[in-house]
Amino acid sequence: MAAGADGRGFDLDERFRQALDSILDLVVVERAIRDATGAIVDFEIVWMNTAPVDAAGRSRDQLIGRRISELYPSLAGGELVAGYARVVETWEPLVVPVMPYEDVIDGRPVSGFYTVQATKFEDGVLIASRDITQLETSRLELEVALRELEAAQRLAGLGTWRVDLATQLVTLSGESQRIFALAPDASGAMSMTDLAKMIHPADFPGLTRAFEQAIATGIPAVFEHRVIRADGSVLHVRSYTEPVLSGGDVVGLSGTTQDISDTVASRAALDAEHVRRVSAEALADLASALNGARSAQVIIDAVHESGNRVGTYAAAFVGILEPDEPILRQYFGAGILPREMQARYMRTPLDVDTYLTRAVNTGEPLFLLDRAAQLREFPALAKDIESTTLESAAVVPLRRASGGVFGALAIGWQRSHGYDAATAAALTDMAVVVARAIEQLELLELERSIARALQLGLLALDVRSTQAIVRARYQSSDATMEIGGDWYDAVELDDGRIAVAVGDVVGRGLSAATTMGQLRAALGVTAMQADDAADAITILDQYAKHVPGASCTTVAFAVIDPASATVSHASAGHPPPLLVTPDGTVKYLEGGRSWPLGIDTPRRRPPAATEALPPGALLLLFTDGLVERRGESLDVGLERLRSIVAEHWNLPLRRLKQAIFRGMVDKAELVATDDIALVAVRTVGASPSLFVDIVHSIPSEAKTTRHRLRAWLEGIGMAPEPRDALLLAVGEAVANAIDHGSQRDESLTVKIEVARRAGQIVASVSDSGRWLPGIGGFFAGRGRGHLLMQGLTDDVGIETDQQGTIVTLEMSLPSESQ
Amino acid sequence: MTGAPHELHIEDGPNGTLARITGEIDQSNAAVIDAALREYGRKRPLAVDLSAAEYLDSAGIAMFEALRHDTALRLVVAPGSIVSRALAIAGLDQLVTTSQSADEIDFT
Repeated sequence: MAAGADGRGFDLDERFRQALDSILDLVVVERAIRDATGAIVDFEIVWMNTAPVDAAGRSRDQLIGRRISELYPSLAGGELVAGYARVVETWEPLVVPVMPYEDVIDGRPVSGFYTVQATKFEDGVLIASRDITQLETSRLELEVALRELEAAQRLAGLGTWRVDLATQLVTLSGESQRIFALAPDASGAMSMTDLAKMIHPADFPGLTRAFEQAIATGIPAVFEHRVIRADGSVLHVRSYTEPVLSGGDVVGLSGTTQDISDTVASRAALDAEHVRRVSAEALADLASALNGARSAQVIIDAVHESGNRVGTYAAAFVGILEPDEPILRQYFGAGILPREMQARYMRTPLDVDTYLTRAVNTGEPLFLLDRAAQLREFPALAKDIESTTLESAAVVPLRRASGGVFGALAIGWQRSHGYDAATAAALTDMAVVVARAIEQLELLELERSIARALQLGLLALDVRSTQAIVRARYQSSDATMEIGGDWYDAVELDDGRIAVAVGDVVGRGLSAATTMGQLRAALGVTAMQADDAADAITILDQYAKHVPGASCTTVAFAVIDPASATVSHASAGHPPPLLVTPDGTVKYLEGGRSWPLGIDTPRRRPPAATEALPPGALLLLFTDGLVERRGESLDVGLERLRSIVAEHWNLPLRRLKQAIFRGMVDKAELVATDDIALVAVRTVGASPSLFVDIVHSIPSEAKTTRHRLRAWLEGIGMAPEPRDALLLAVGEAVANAIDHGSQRDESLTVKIEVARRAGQIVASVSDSGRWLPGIGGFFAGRGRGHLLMQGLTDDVGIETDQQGTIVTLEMSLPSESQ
Repeated sequence: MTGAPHELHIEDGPNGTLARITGEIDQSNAAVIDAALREYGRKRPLAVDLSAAEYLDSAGIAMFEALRHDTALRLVVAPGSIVSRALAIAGLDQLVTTSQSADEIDFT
């Protein structure tokens, strides 16, 4: 792929540029400018993505082709450019978490804070930068506010007091006496009864409950109440109490009482200040918590958590429009809303008027300042409103970067709330952060589903050879469920040879799946023209050098020739194939090995290696995900596979694959962290422990394979009674496969494997159809066939997978008939 | 397309027909055998001797199950043979009079 016109000599292909364009951050590619001595003195912008404008509001057309020193005068010869130069020379990436930037551009002052990451790219750097001015400013403001709060606490006059439960006397400090407007007294002591008279009657029960609770639980209590002072005036105070313990018993209470009249008077203003501080903090929290969030639930939990840290949010929930129906899908952060209510609102149609749907429908924020406001705005929801302890709520629409509303975010509090422009702005900021996180999530989901579809589509096998059975299995990594770059393929060549490949592209996700698809297709074509396996690898290698992301791909490739009973194989950095000959000998094919694809080297790859592949032999090709485990040498994994295969090699391929995955992967200590591809090829033929046959899906072929099987069963000396029963059971399975698995296509095949195991015969008949017993009246015609299979054997298993349907029959043998 | 190997021997008596089938009966030849047996069994009692048959699959069993509605059918099967087992599993031995030897049938 040629460098693009605006690549300015750098190798920026179309897909790479598109990928960068989809990133919300500013991404810039800069070329190093060197002086006569070769030292880097400046950088020139060669390309940047379509993301935002730069700090001075200039678009990319105004920036590409110009130098850093002329674009950003204050950076010329500065630390950042020196840092870029180091990146170019040392290959070490540079990360500046917070970079303050001040400059004068076109006569106007410009300033802000940025996060900058630079990595080496050709003879230059690839820079990703994010404008964090808003976050950084919020953080600085928060620091100032916290310092102010500390100062205020030092200045605040707190009255202290102590209650002796035995004597029922209260001792008050001077400041406390001032709060209660008591005449100065040397002792400062008064009876509880007298003091109780000074508590506002309306607040008395609540205060008593709080104190009793503190005594009963030993946990400090805080209560806001009014005091009727000695002079008759009323004062708002906040009392804090904690129990005094002696020998494990509560003997008294000590605490503080603070005059909060001013605070109460300016409650509304305080609320706004509080929300501003909380939301500045919440934004900072969210920015980091939402980084890489993998689900909407994680996002809303983070929102709830960001408020919870300061004891503020009683509820947080988010609604996201379903892609193709007018329904709002709602997610609830762990809060006070009853589960039953959450379940009812999980999928809310847009024409049902709720807090979230209203914000989505109108595109306007909604502030419900107290319970009365909630009931007034949503009379139809009265029952739900009254069943919760939510006093107030704020709802803000979520907008796409392009502007359209796609959901709404709601925050609820357990007390009534004042709102002003600052509060609204803070919530809107939060909505922006949440909206971007959800959009990122959607992008990730889309990418994953495309990659999965791509891989599944590519991994379908359609081999119609009557000379070998090919079965494969792909499993994505347990850890991420993300599609990786493993692939396999099998192609029947015109001369009856069968080419089989397994490969592993570096990386995961859509890009790996795309590269994998290109290489797989290329190898499929190459296989048809190449002289042998090594030749195919060499041709593929030349192609791989032009495919982005193909570097370091590993491939194992084998060409099976049934006519000469040989296999020619070559491997490019890939684990060796495993061969089992019909006498049960298991060995790795170590020959024909060379380095991975796409690596520049003058060395020539070695010729292909050739092995005998007698009829009924088994060849396994796999990727390293099957054998490689963290903290374990590869040899241990290879030996584990060898011993499992040695024990189970003659089982029908489906059962063999199951045994391999059971022993290699499905164990707590062996969980795969990489994806896995496995291909098994078994050639047709009979040996004392295995019978393998393939016939075309033609009714008359049923008797052909039956006669071959009868001869084999007689040859291994099986007693007549179990022999005839097995022949009939397998015969029924074959007749069924021809009827239902053939899809009336006579080029399709039916595969028969019969294994002689200790005390047991395991037989398998597989076809290319997708029938299932009992579905759509399938057994209407052959109900007796199924009945016979069950009556004649010990177990009948019917499984359908991507490749077709497999009937597996098990029959135990009395020891004398073996 | 050739069917499974089989032979059909007919012994006609005054009171019925005894058809002796050797070899295999499966989907590939069931229709041919069915046509022949219907011809003989149309007007007279029919006994089919399967004691020398080696193979009888569900297609063959289905054929006899249909035939029993249209003819006066009896079957002869060797005890313990695969044919006898298959008929028992399919439940046909409950629906058709079954003998262990052709000697028990006297159409003369």
